[in-house]
Amino acid sequence: MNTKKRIIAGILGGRVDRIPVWLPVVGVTVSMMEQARSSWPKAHWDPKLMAKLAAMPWELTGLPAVTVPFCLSLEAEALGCEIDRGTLNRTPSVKKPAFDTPDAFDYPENLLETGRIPAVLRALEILSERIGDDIPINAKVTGGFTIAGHVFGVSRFISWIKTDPEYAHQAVERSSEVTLELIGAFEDHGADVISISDPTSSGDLLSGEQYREFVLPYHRKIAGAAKKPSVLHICGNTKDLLGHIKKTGFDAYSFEEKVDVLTAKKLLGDDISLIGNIAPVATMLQGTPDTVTADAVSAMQNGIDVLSSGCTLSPLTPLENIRALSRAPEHYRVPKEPDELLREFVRGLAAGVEP
Amino acid sequence: MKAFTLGLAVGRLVGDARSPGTGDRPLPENEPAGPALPESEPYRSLAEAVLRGDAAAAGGLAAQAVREGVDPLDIAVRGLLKDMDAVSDLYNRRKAFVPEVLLAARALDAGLQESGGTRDSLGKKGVVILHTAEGDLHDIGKNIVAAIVAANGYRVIDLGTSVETPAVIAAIREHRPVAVIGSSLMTSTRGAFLATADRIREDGIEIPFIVGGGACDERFAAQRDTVRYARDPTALVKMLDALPAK
Repeated sequence: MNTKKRIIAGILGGRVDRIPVWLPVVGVTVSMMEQARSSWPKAHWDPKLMAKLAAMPWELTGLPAVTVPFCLSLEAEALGCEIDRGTLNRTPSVKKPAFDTPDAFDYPENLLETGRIPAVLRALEILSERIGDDIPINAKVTGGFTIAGHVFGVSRFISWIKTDPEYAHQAVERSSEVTLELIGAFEDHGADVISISDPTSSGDLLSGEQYREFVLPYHRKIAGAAKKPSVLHICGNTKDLLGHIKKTGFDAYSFEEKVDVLTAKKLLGDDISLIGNIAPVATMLQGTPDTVTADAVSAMQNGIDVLSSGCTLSPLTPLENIRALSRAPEHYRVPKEPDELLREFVRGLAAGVEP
Repeated sequence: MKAFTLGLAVGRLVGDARSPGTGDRPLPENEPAGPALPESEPYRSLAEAVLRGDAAAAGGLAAQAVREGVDPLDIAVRGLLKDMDAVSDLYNRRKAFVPEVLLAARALDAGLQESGGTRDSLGKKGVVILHTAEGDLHDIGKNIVAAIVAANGYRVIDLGTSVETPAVIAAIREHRPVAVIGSSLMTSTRGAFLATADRIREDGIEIPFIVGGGACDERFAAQRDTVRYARDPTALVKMLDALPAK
């Protein structure tokens, strides 16, 4: 099974010869920038540098994780937000919201020609042509809830949930139109997988009920529109949201260590593949290759479908830890025989599922 | 009269919503009830208005109480602030979420304004300086901390997002705070806290530096003996309350 087929099979919940390793999020580091001679912030604007750097996790560590763009502010910038360009180890981020009210939301006529979007489209073409046969090219798109937080200001937008629910809906709906247009364009320019990152809709900020009311309808629409395999990534503690995420229609859900794999498996069942959940800070950044391997084996034993860091890697993550993640499946064999499956099941019970 | 406790108030705050899976759960019978809300009027109505996040009601009730001759300090301390306490407790127990806290903070400010006070005028326990790490533009966590710390009797000097070390030092010299609080959600920015802590020490200033947010943990804070980690706003308030009096 080649790497690309294995990853796609894992995302879609199919048969695999070993657990795939892959990131639906960004996995580039400062040492990769040095080796590639392509650094942030310049690589966010230049398609050749962007493609060169995006391929580095694969070329330098064997981690088949090729993702563009590198940040969450692509959409907000195109919608008129003032952007801080970031630095060598910090992604661009939104400095100022663009609009006061949903009525003021101004959808650019030529969205695909605005801001850095043309650079991302070109980078996807370059990557698809260069390594797209071996590795799935992942296009990351920001979810409508997070875009709304950027363009209206997070505090103001989130307050609308209580003060002006209709405003909140309009804000997410309009912002989600941007997500939808980008999905189509990224697919047309060579993306093999669409990963939606929507961190502002995390269970750290919203209740399960608020997710159901203000996020789920738009996530369903987005999942329904993606023609390629689709992944939803929401970090933080999302336990209260899982019962609803199950109904989004995404092929896979990517989560961090604040949700344990057994709980996620129990609540999501086989309706959606599980991607995760190695701690990006405690293990990937601060751990050693041995702790990365140990956490990865535990996640595989507990039923993770695609092994990944629980969130974007810190740009300071040691390369040896990334190599350890990409090699971790060598330490674990996918059970095939019924008695092996039973043993895995019992091991899962022994590890304990949170009530 | 039966005490109007936090447990009974939760349903009103989150709208008694039920959801599948592990979603919003009603409080089980044996759940501790949390801090009690005031029983006597007008404090109880004021507290309820803050709990509902109803700024108009909080403002109106506070103005009326002032007209009736209630001491503005009582309005704040016995009514409005009691309830911010309850909201922060609910937030930590995942019974209230960011929208509810933002609204409660807004109602608190409306009530304070109508009774002739501000959050600052209530900062009897001392001043704290709040900021996000240089390079980190996320302000939602910081804003929640600001509301909860202020509601617990501290005057909060909010330096905003992406604050450089010299601005922190200047604020310490100007405001003489009891502690500096830093929030960081990006691991690539948290290092700024260490630089700030070093600079504070080099300048001969003795002050606790408490950090929090998704990018921080105990292990990060342990890199400097003046830096401590608070996992949530309640832990932070407990740390502040436990500081030796100046």
